[in-house]
Amino acid sequence: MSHPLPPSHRTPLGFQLRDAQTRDQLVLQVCQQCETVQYPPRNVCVNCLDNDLNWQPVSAEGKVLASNQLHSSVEEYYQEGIPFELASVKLNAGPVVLACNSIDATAGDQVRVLGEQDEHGNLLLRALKP
Amino acid sequence: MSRPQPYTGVAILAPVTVPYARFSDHSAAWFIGNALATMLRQTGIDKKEVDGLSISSFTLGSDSAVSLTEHFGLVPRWLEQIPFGGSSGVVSLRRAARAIQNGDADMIACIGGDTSQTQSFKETVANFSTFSTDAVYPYGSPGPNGPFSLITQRYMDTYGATREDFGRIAVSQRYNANHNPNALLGHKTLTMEQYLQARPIAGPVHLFDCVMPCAGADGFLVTSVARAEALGLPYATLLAADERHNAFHQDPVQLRGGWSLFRDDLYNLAGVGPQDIDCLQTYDDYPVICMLQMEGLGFCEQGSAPEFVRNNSLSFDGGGLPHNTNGGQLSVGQAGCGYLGVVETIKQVLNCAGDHQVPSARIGMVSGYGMVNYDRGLCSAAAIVRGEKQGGLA
Repeated sequence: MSHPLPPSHRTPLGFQLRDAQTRDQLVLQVCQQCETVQYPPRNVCVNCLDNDLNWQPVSAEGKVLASNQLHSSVEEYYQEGIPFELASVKLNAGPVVLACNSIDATAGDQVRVLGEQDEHGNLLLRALKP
Repeated sequence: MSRPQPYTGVAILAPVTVPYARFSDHSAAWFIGNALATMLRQTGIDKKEVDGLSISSFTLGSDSAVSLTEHFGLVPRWLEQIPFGGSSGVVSLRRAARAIQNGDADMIACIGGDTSQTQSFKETVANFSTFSTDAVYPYGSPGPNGPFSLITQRYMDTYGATREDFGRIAVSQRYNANHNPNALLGHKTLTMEQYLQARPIAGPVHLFDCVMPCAGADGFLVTSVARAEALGLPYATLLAADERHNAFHQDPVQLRGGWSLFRDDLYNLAGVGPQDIDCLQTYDDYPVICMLQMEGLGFCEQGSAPEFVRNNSLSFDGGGLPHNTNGGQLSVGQAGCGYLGVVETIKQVLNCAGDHQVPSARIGMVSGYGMVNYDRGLCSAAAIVRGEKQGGLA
């Protein structure tokens, strides 16, 4: 039986987000008009609606809002790896991101969020020690 | 800001439920079509008189509301499709009421229905929204359990809510469902001990905090009071309704929804307050969301719902605040985009809810909530209805 793989589906913006990441920097969409940092990726600026958006390094620092273990998944790949450690992080740069949490971070902890590639070469954000 | 005008002269009638099933080989159109047939049969209204149609469904696939006009042989002059998840029932009622008031239609059928097949829930979850595809689904593919586990955890951390507090909602709803033959879980009792010992799903969210996606449909007719009187049918009126979307988007975690932004206007227009509400149906995808609605709609202060549910009975016959009186989605099942609570509210104020009837209920409130596009539900809606000519249909 073949080994199940993580879900590979992303939107075109999701693939752009992946391609923009670097090893040691978090890269998100930044509006060139009003400097709003946004996530998840959008087609126009959530603040001023300008469409001049660049992928730029932003502060990777943030604070954990909540963290949990997921014991259930609709994907076979994750069902085999249960529990999945999930955290929501309020970035200093503004947005809230959901991220893998392999450092047992809990609410209030300071973390760094960086991208890594899964078995498909797709992006996963991960909460790391600061 | 302008304010909603009264919904004078609008009648709501023929609340129907096509009984839910955990899985079904039938399509969503089958359930929706059966809801329409049932309401026409029960009222004696001819299909040709239906000149308005509002549809909500997650499982119509490539079909839409206009496809269904061809399926059902309808020629509507007013056609609506509301894709706002668990707020769709309330929003459809509001839209339909305005169409009746303005003469855009004379008889509108509002129906929410879904099917449930082995893969349908996974497909709904995997393709829910672009934000979800890029920023939620890759993180354990948890479906709504993921975001809601984080909301629940944050609510507990912020306001001191315990699992027992959520359990009071789930256990009372199961008691209500034990008096509703259409509730999928109504044949099973649920004790607080069973609730607390349930298997974990996601963080503080355990099995009995989660709804069961299923197949079924709910619907009602909206027409004029004059037409309802001429037909001699039981009907309710719409005292007030409102909605807000993407409210408080700057809050890092959703601990409140849009209800507080319109509740004063809602009660003013209706001429009643929370103390006058005989029964409340909230959208119960998770118990914590019921709490946000109780707070947002003024039944208690922000953050005090845990205390409220400790001090007030929520059962249909407990004399407190009868809440999700048919068992809600937690015990009936989840289908049809929030129509369950609307139909139950209409039944309650018409005093035709059967074994789980709230004694002498006349004024009911229904709240809708929906669409976890990313990390929170975007839609908040609520309506207050009053039974005018009470009674059931054959």
